[in-house]
Formats: sequence, C-alpha cells, structure tokens
Amino acid sequence: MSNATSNATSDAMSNLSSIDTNNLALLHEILGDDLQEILHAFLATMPELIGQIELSIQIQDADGVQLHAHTLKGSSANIGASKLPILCAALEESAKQGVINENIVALLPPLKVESEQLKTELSQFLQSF
Amino acid sequence: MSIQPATLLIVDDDSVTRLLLSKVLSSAGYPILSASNGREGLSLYMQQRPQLVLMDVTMPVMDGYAATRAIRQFETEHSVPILMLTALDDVESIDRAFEAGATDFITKPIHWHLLTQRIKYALRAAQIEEALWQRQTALDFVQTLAKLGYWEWDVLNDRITGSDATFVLFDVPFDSELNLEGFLSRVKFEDKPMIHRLLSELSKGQSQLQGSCRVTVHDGSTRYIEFLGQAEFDHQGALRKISGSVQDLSRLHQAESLIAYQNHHDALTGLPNRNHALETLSRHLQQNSQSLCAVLVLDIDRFKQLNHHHGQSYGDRLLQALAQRLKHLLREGDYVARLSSDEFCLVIRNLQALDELTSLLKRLQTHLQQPFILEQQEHFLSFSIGISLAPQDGTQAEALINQAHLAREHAKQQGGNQTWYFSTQMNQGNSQNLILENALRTALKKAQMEVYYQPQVDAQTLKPCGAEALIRWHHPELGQIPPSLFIPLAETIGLIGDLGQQVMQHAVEQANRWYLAGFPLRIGINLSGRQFNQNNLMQDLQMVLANTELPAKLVDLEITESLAMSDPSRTKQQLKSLKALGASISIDDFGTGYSSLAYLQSFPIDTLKIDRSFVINLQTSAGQTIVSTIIAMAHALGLEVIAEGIETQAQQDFLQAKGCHIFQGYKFGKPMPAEAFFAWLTEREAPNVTSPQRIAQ
Repeated sequence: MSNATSNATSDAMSNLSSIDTNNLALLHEILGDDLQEILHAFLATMPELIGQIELSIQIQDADGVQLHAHTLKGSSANIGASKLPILCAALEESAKQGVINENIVALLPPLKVESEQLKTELSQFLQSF
Repeated sequence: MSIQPATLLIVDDDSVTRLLLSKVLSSAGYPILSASNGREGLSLYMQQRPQLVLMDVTMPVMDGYAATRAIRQFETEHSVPILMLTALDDVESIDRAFEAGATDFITKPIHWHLLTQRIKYALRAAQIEEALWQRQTALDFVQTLAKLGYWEWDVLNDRITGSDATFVLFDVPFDSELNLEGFLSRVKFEDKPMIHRLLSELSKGQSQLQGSCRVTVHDGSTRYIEFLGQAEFDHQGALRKISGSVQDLSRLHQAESLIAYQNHHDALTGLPNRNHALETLSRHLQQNSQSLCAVLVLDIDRFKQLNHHHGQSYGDRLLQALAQRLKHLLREGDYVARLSSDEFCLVIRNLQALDELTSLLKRLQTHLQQPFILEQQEHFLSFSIGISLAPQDGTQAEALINQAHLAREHAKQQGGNQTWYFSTQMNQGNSQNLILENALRTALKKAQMEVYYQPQVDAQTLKPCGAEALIRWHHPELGQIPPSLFIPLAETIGLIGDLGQQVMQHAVEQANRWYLAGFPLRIGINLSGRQFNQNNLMQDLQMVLANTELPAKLVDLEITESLAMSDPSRTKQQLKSLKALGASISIDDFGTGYSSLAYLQSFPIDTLKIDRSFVINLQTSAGQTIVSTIIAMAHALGLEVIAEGIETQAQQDFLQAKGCHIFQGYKFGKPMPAEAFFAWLTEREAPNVTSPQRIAQ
C-alpha cells in the first residue's frame, strides 16, 4: 500500500459505498439503540483525528501522522466504514518512512472527501433509528 | 465454575473502539473495565484483577506489548487470557504479541458476531488451566509436607525423571540427561548393591519394588529414604519402565547414637560444635572461676556471597582450610569449635595478662591475612571478630559466647575486617535504637524526611541529564541523622517499605514536574535490600508512575552490587519485572562487591555506577587501572557508566578520556532540595518544550 498513489487508491474505490451496511446492520442487531451513541461518538472524533493528521503534516511530524491515521483506521473499520480505513492504512504506511513525503500530502484531500461522504451516509443511517 | 460473570478489561486508545467493545461485551453480560493506554490498563489490572484482557497494540503511553509483558511479570501464578487486537494482515505484530505473552489475537476490523464467542472460549480455557494449576499446586504442597516424591525410570534409555522433591531427597540436581547411576550417586556405597539386587529381581519378572537406603547429603548429614516401585514390561516380557514413590524417613531413624554423635561433632571440619563448646567452656569456668579467659567469635566477611559465586563445595573446602589453620594457631590448652555455618569460636584459657591476648590476636590476624589456596588460586579473606572476657564480662558460658557474638555483629556492622571487644553499650544499643525508632516513626508520619537531589551531567556536554534522589532526615532535636544510621534501623523494624515508598513517590513526582516543565531528567532512586526483595515493589512503582506522565525509562532504580549478587536468581526475576514497567536499572557502588560476570551479563541492567572510592583513588596508577577496567568492561557489555564523587578537574579529564558517560559529584553540584535543584537547572539550560508535549499527548 505504501507505494500506491492517492489517485490510484481513490480511483479503485470510487465505485464502492462508504459503509459496509452488513456490518453496520449486525452491530445494530447486537447493540440496538446504543449504536446511535457510538456513531455520534465516531462522528465527533473523526474530524478531530483528521485535524490532528493535517496538523502533523503541517509541522512535518511523521510519527503523529502514523499514530492518528492508525487510530482513525481502527475506529472507522470497527463501525463498518469501508473506504476510509484503506486511505488511513495508506497514510500510516507512508508515514512509517519517517518523513512527510508527497504521497502523504496527496492523500489528505481524498481523506477529507471520503470522511464527508462517510459522514453523510452515517447521518442517513442514523435517521433510520 | 464461577457463577459470577468474568470481568473484562479493555485497553485501547481509540475512544470509539473502546466504546464499541464495552457496549457489545456488556450487552453480552460481562462487567467491563476500560483504559485508554497501557499504563492505565496495567494499573487497573493490578487493582481489579480482571479475568480477561483485550489489548490494543499501538498506544501512546506504554504500548500493548509492553503492557502485556508487564502483566505477565506481575501475575506469575495465574495465566490470565490476554487477547491482542491486531490488524488482519499484520503478521509481524501477531508474532510480537505472542512473544510478549498474549494468549490469542483478535483481528481488526472486529467481527462482532464472533467476538463474544472468542471471549467465551478463552475464558473457559483459562478456567480449565487454572483448575489444573490449583490441583497441581495442592498436590505439590501435600507431597512436600509428606516429604514424598515420585519418580520414573525409563529402563531402555536409562533416564530418571520425577518430581522436584525426589531430586531434593536424593540430593542430586535435576537434569534431563540423568541416568540411574547419576541419580544414585549420593546413596551410601554400602547400600548400592542392595538396590541393584532389587532391580535385577524386577528384570526376572517380579513387578513390585520396595526397599530403603541412606543418602549422604552435601552438608554431611545422612538421610533415610524408603522407596516403592511398580514395574512395567513390554510384550516380550522385558522390563520397560519402573515408576514409584520415595519418602524421607530420616526422622524415624534418628537413633540414640546418631543423636549423640551429631550433638558434639561437626562433620564438615571435624571440629567440636556449639554444644560441645558450651559444655567445655562451662566446665572450664566452674573449675577456674577467677582466671582470665577470652572467648573469641569469628566469621568470614561476605561468606554467603562467596558461597554463591563459587558454589557450596568451595565454601565447604574453605571452612575446612580455615578450621585447619585455626587449630594450628592455638596454644596448648586453647580450644576451637565451629558454632554455625561460617562462625567459629576460640576459647583462650588461663591468660596471665591482657597483652598475652593482644599478641595472640596479632598472630591470628597475620595468619588469617595469608591467602587460602583452593584450586590453585589464592583467595584473600577478611574476618569479623568479637571478644568477650571472663570474669569481667560474665562467668556463664552461654552469656560469654553471646557477648562475643554481639561484638562480632558490631564489627560486621562497622564494615567487617575488624575486631571488637564486647562492651555493655552494645546491649544498651537497643535502648538508643528505641529512641531513634520512635523518632523515625514520628518522622515518617509527619513527613519530616526530605528528598534531596544531586545533579548528574552528560560527560561530553556537561549539561544536566539527571539526578540522584537522596533521603535527608533533619530531626528537630537530634539534628541531621545520616541515612547509614536510620536506613538499617528502618529495615529491622519493618518501616523500610513506607520509607522507600515515600522516597519513590516524592522523587517520581518531582521528576514528573521537571519533565512537564521541559526538563526530561532521569531520576535515580536507591532501593534498599528489604525494599528490593518486597513482592509488591513492581506494583508500588506502577502505582506511583500511573499518576504521572513521566516516561518510565526516566526512572532509574539503583541497587548495590552486593545486594544484586546476594541472590542472583531472585535479582534477575525482580529486575525483569521492574524492566517490564519500562524502568531503567543501575548497579550502584560497582566494584566494591564480588560480581560474577556471568550473572552481571544475565541481569537486564542499563548502567553501572562506579563507586566514589575508586574516583578518589584516581591519583594513583592502580586506581586509574581499576576505573579504566570497569569502564572498558561496561563498554563491552553495552552498559552506560556513571562516575560518582567527582571533585576535581583531573578526575573529570581522566573519566572523560576513558569514555565515561555521566558525571556526578560536588564538582557539578551537591545534593540539594528540589527548589535549589530547579534553580541550578534553569541556570544551565533552557527547557526543551517540544519533547514532553509530544509524548504527553
């Protein structure tokens, strides 16, 4: 993944939905209405984490990018996001090199776009409660 | 099986995942604890002892591997299941998780419908393992009580296996390659033919074995053992295996004659023993009540360590050689006995005057200073000697020996290698201690103790890099009381735990304040012998660390070389558990004790601290050689070196040239209170504001 450019990554995923609805439905089954609380928590932390990633890129802190991309990867995958984890994994891998390279810089815009898309889809899902 | 549901601990830095896991698992009926990093998780584990841990890998303060290792070090008697949360494709982290001691792994993204099943299985497996372990422990305990062991002889391969007790009873170390002959090596020569006869009867088709034999134990005593066995044969009727039990029946065999013999005789050195000494001295005192008589009690300094290094048989031969030398030294009519392990008693009878005793002592010292030669090597020993005199100190044998013993203890407390006459103050020492003891209790309660900090600087840049925490006690009436006086007292009256805990807490909190102010200094904390051997040391340190943001590696725990070597296997275990928390470890006063390089290398240590006495001696070429050797050795072992007690430019130059890493001494700063230390610090360096914030996120 580390060598994949942002364009290739986002192109390959453009046909996918942002959420694996099966996974989310399963969680709904297990947790019932508690899932609302978790999704709200996710929607609150996602922009914070993206902000941290952006800030880390600005101050040339590759460790910071790695840590926050890792966290966002895990939490988004766990609530059933399908594309965002892949973008995060790409960021995390690139950041392991220890420097802020153009790969990382290029991954940020699609990450933001995808997070908006995910937010829209999750909000729709939340209305079904 | 317990009816109460198991408590689960979730350790993950991502709040969403933590919340998800908590919700899913509590809806499955489990009580949940959760922590947002490894350090918090470890603290919660120590306090609550959950039945299962779900552990994330990547976390900012103490990652999942380190926390898992620490839990394993802390919980040595139970194996709590630790399930590690890893990415599916991350084979490397799965491997590392197992190395750290994880039971299993759960891949992310988490398959929610499988999660509760995985946890149910892991809990059941742990329960089965726990039940098995408890039964095994109970069985071992009962067997130990009954002095009972089991054994098995694989006839074809001639290999003996069995329980620990069996090998203890036969006084042979367990070894997977042990054959019958090796196993029976301590059995008395006369009893071996009988055993072989019984075995040959078995090979002729008899299936039961029963007999008894005697074992000569390494301390010279005899053990009486009864053994039972059951033979197994193969299809051709050839003997394949014998399994059975052994039991120690020595207590039943203690015949009258045996008791009488052992009562007066020391098997190792051939000298009379304590009972004999008491009877002889009593008789002498009754018959010569007015004549001057001296009782000397003598022992070898650091004999225990010597024994550890060179082995029991070395110690035994040393005692035999010493016994010989003492016998030769004495005049006719004098008397020598061995009181206990390395303690000897000399009775000098019918002295005309005290100067006669003085010249005898001189002779004794000259002879004992000569090296003892074992295995073609010279060994120089030092001794502590205590003397009591009849009739002035007393006329009762037991009292005189006790007084000489007390004087000997005193000589030892003063550092050994000296002779002390008994004085009544040694008895009064107790009442002085009582005053000090009460003062110490009050001081601890009122927190009169203060922690001072002595600067440490980087040897190349001379910039501050650390501090050693040193306890100071200023008593309102008694004044400044030196640690060398109250630390041993605190150890004897059981206050060292509280005292050590107070110092550790102060020092770590102080270092944390410096750290947050932008000075990541490493804080050196001394551990006393008792403190180091306490079982809850690991927990104490963790609890102190948990309330701070200080990285654990900035806590440097110092133990003296002699403490480290007094029980090397225990030292290794304890150091491993402290290391699992991430702390740094130093060997203090290095060079003053007897280190085994093999042990030193096996300890997980970071630093050697060269004792100040060597630094003081740097003006001599011998002193320079010693210090160069220690530094070269540390370099070879990959250890960092701190030199203590640096006062002059010449010392600094020499140590710098030799590649010493860190300096400590009056040249750079005396021990000072925290505020003065901070002033000293800010005079020399501007805070580094980026580093703590980065880690403290």
